[in-house]
Amino acid sequence: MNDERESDLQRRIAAWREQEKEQTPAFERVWRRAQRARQTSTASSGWRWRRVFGLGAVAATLMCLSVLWWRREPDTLRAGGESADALSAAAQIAASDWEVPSDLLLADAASQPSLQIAGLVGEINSLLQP
Amino acid sequence: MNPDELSSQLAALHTEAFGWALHCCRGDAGLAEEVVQNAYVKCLQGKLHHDGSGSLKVWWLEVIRLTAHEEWRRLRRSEGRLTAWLRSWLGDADESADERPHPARQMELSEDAARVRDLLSRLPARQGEVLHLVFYEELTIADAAAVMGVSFGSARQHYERGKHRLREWLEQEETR
Repeated sequence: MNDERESDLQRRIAAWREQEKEQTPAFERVWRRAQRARQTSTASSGWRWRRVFGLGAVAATLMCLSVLWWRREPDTLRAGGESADALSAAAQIAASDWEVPSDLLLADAASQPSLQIAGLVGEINSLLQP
Repeated sequence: MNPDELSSQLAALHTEAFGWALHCCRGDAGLAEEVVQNAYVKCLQGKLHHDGSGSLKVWWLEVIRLTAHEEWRRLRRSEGRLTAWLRSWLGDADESADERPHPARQMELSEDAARVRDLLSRLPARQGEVLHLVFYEELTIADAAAVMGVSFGSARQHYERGKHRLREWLEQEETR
């Protein structure tokens, strides 16, 4: 019984196999497509290297720019320092009932923006005084 | 090996390679053709070499199996998690997990051949593979084990279980 079943199964599989064989795509067609795909992949690998180098160049440029920005940082801090100086000078003037302290007026106003502000506040104050 | 020699050797195995690729691709003829083509590309690029120690057919069928698995993985990656999630959300999960051959493919085969193909594809993957290799590719169980990358004992067990299950199904069909 088992042998009968097995031979029946083999017969059916053989019939199916024959039918599928007829539907197999021609070797020449698949082979030619593979050859074309190989040529395309070789060409695309060239493009891949170009992309890698291009991205490398962009990354290097960005790194240089960030280094330059980092070197600029002390100037930025100095500018911040100036603002802090000006604020503290203004606070000092306000605390002294709008009288500009003499040490601020005597200092070289041209070189220090904080003192320029102090001088300006003094002028406004004098104009407001009756 | 020069390209002409390689081409003639692969041409002799083309039908078997396509039949096996078709099984590995669950009956999707388009994908099977792509798998065979990719395997040829690998050969042309010199990535594959048969060392001559075993049968060329066994080696080539193993290459086809590995290439088919690569193709499945690539397709699954390209499908993406979002698509898979959408599909499961829309209730198509069962359809995607269906391992039966493509309906268009089944229509092309005669009713009897399609039934055999359908029964084989319903078997667990390993059992289906070993039966295909033994009955369709006419390999020995030892060679089938080499193609599948499993031990001889394991392949034999899959073969026996698969055959037993096929017999049961055929009997059930005839008693209906």
